[in-house]
Amino acid sequence: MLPNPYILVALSLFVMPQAVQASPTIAEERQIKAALVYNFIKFVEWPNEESVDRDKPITIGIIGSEGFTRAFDIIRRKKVKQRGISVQYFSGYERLIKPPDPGNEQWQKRIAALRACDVLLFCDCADVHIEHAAGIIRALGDSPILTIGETTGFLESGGAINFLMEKDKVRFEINNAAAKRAKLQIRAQLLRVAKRVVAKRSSERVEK
Amino acid sequence: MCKAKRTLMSRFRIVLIVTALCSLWPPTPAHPQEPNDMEELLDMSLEELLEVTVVTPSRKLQSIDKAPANITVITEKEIKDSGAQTLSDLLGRLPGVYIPTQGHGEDSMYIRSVGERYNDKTLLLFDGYPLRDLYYSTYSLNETVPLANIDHIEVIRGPGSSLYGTNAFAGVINIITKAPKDIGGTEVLAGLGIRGSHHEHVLWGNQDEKGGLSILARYLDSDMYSLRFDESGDPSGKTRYIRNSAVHFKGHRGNIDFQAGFYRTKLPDFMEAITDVENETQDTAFFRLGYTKDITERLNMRTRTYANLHWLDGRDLAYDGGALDKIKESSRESQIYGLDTQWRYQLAQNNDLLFGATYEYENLDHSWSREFDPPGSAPAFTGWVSAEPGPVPTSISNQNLAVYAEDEMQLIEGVLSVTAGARLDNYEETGSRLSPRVVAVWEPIKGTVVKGLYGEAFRSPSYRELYKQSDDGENEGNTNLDPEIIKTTELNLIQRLGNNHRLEVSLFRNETSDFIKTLGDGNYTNLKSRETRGIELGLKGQFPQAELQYFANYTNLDADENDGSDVDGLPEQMFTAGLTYEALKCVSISPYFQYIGKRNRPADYQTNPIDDGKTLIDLLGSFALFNVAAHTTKAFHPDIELAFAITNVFDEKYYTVSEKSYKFDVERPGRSFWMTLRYRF
Repeated sequence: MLPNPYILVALSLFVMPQAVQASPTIAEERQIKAALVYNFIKFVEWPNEESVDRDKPITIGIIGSEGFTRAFDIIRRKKVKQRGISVQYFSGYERLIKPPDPGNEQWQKRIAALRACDVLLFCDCADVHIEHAAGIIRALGDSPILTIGETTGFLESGGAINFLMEKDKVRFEINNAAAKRAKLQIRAQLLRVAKRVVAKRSSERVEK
Repeated sequence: MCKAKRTLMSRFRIVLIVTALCSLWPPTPAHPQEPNDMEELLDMSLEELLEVTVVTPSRKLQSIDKAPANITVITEKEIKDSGAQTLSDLLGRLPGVYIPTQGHGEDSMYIRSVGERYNDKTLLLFDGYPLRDLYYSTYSLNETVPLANIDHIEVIRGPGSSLYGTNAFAGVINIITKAPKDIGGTEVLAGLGIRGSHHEHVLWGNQDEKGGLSILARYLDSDMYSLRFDESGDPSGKTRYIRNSAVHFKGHRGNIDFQAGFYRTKLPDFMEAITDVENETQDTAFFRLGYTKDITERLNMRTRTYANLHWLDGRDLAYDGGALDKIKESSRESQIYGLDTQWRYQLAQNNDLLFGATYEYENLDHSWSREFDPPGSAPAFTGWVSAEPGPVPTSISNQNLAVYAEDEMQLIEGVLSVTAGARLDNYEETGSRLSPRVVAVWEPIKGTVVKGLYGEAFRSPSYRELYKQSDDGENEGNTNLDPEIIKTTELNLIQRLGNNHRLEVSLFRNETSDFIKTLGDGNYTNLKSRETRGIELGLKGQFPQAELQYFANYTNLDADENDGSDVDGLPEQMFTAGLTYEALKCVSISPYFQYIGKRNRPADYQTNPIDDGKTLIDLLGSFALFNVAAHTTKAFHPDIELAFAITNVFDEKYYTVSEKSYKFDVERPGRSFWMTLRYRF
């Protein structure tokens, strides 16, 4: 005859569960970056944000890669700042490279389409060169767009936030001067967790 | 059937009914095509997101639920919670897995009734690289694998030859050691068990922007887990000592990863008392160099080269009428040099192609060198009396080449996928073998996954089976042997129960043929075939608010030899269950229960010296074990961890059926203790 503790141990395994959400500790790089982009929106203030129609979605533009598609398909169903999220994909950089003729109508139209976005994510893909991103950012001028990249030198090209990898963790750096130029206010909570913050337009930087 | 057994069976029926009721639990409502991970990531804070570890698409991470195989992962936490000291202790907890100890003292792994005393029917990978010697095609499940340096273990139950080739027959075990970044400093560990068993290690690891490196140095002296009997079953000779020294380097720089290891295992045994020489020394050295590159966003390449070297210097004991009659000394050197290149190409958004090729050069130098004829059962050793070369000084080389491809296609994104692949192995000695596999994975509603699997696998004969020559004409090698074949069909249901509980049910049928007869008179031959049908139930989960994790596994096997007889030595029913309770945020307590059903004894297995020579019935009775493990983290000091383990708490007397040549049951350890102290700085 088995001692009673055996059967008690066996049966105690089947007590009804209490549902608690478990958090993943590993994920694909682009999933994490997409989730961070979603979070960035919470910590960045756009000019006249309070007066914007709540029915107008926040538009995230993604330039250059389909790799983010799956991750953003989830995000577009979410709401942030009580507004829906719209995601637009812009095909490869080759169509956005500034042509020799700056007055090229097609190109102007494409830049105008980018200006309609609140956030622009520049993907690090095979056909990108940092000067392409720099050309687009220059063309956008001081439009209130949060520009986010994942390429070395993106901040120096005028981008506001750049993803980088540290071992196997995703980190980001911020060019606050570029954000201010676009009339964006980045909250302290976001600046605090950034790996590096560029505070001024010149080479004078605040290193964390 | 006695009353106690009837009572036990009725209790298991209760467990089964409860398990079946759990399977009716409604699934978590969710959008049908949403990857759950992304939803969870969006609920995380900025700080939490920055702590999530990245898995690159090239090392494509699939949830275990939807992986095109029956995979179980044993995590570092589960290893630590279990209090296990050996791989056997850990793997024996899984559904479908039974690990008896054989008369010669080694543990053998049986997955779904398929196994063998030399452990050659399950492929062991060490960080993804094969680790086996040529002579037995075997590996050790005992204390020689240091558990404290394992990050996790992946176990595939079912055929794996379509990707891994030979020996991935009943299953694949991939031991992933800790990465330098996970160590991040120095760790000193000392463990002490009963009867003077002890082990110590120093582990150092560091990683910076350029790369990482870890070094493990370890020593173990154990007489606790691997009981060994002499051939007469004499309990006085039952303790098998193991002394193991290991050094292991692991590192990476840029796209290059490398490993080197040296393990020396000494089995002094009772030979030492007689002859003042050690019974057996096994040396293993391995060197690995890998290069991984994302060629384009869609194309990834991994190329690896490796060398596995094994040396053995051992003595075999021959008995006559229970007395030691003869000692034969043997030595051999096994070398495997391999080159493997694997490519992954994303043909389309929902179509991944994996393909690759493997080349291996093998060489075995083997010789029986000399014999010693002692004048009595416990003679004074005066030197080797015969220095004549044995009958087989042999050097054998072979070259093997394999190509493989596997395509995973999402027919309905996130709902239905089909994976199909095959591997063609060409062995210089035994010819070619094609191993196909096809798996369909269907997730009709979120949290419910159904898999249908069909696969074939093979085991190429070991060098022992191919080439062995002996002076008594028994167990002669046979170069005309065919590979052993297994064909498996499986239906697998995974049901998530809320966010924290997972139920898995597997129904399977495997047919093995051309089993190589390993013992008896004459040459090794392809003789046996076997059919096994079975069901495995696994329930695993956690109650986070109560700081409680649990698992429970039940297996029912029906295995028949080709003559209709039951398979010897294996249970029809197995049940394992465990809990881990984390108290006060610093103490974990883990009780564990194991039940193994009755097992057949071989027909010529009539007496058991341990049991006073009583005539035995043809069934060995069931047994139930209860273990408790506990460990503290930061209870006494932030950097100190203290662990305790008591196995067989109620000091149950239990046995495993030994292979035929020993003809007696193998007694397993009574109540045993282990204590481990770990200091990190």
